[in-house]
Amino acid sequence: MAVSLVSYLIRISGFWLMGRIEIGARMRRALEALPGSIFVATVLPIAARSGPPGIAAALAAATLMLTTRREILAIFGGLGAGAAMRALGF
Amino acid sequence: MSEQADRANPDDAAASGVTLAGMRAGALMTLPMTPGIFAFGLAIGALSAQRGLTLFETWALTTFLNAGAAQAVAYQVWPEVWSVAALVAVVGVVFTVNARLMLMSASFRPWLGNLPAAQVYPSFAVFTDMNWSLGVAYHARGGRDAGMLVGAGLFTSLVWSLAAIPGWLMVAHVADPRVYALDLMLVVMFSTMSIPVMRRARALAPFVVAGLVALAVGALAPGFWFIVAGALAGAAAGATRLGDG
Repeated sequence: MAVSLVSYLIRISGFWLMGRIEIGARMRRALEALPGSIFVATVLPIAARSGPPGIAAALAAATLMLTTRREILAIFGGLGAGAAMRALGF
Repeated sequence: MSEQADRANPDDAAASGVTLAGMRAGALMTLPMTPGIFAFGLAIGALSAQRGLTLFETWALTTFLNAGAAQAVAYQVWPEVWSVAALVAVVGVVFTVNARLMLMSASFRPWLGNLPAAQVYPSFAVFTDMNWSLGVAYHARGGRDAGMLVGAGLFTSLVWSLAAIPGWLMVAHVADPRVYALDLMLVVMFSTMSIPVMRRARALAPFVVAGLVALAVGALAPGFWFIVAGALAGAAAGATRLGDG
């Protein structure tokens, strides 16, 4: 229950904080760069830590999404690439 | 309704209120993601069983914590016997992994900033990576109904917590989720979802900065702080000339 409460407080705290700060042009551009930055900052280190299967999974998912624009294909292709690398012994 | 009509302005980034139509749109947007959410829910159910949680505990935690990555990482420090120190460690891990949600909810300020607090704050109870990223896409193509976030969030939460049940039950059959690379689900999901965001981005340089900083912090520091460090570096780069493209 404590973890659930903390998780909810984190969810709202960013939004609450931003209400106390004036959003200027600079802040707006920072916020525009934020979503993509979160994706990249999450994927790269975790993929690197996971070794070849993690890197293959991330690359396969991104490539499939770029070419097919279908989330389902990208997700299962990514998992498949990771599983294949594991099966090959990496 | 008339109040909303007064505010209506096609160039305005701000929200209309939470409506049932918006909630339905959100649930429909999430529908194609169901297999992915389901697969991840299965994995978290299996991990819960390996940790020795009962089926009810598994369902309660997936429903109310509603944060898969945090739950998966929290299991790494899950204690055999609970103490104050153990509770602090688990809460600390959940905070670290979920700190990104603070940044994500902040990124919705331009959209939701004009809504009454009584609508916004309950909506964030079902706020996850899933409805955040779908919400970014929805807002980018002109959607303004905050109900979209609620619908997507409730749908995700429902699929996710229900999937944990068969996951918990089948743990005897899938001894190692790593064989199916289910532990890489977060990487795969975020990698997939980064592509539409990159396509729309004004400049790619801030993301390069975010990636390099995150890699460096991830290599030097333990835990998941690299997410926060990289994201903040990317946002800071966006505020400079790098963000102009």
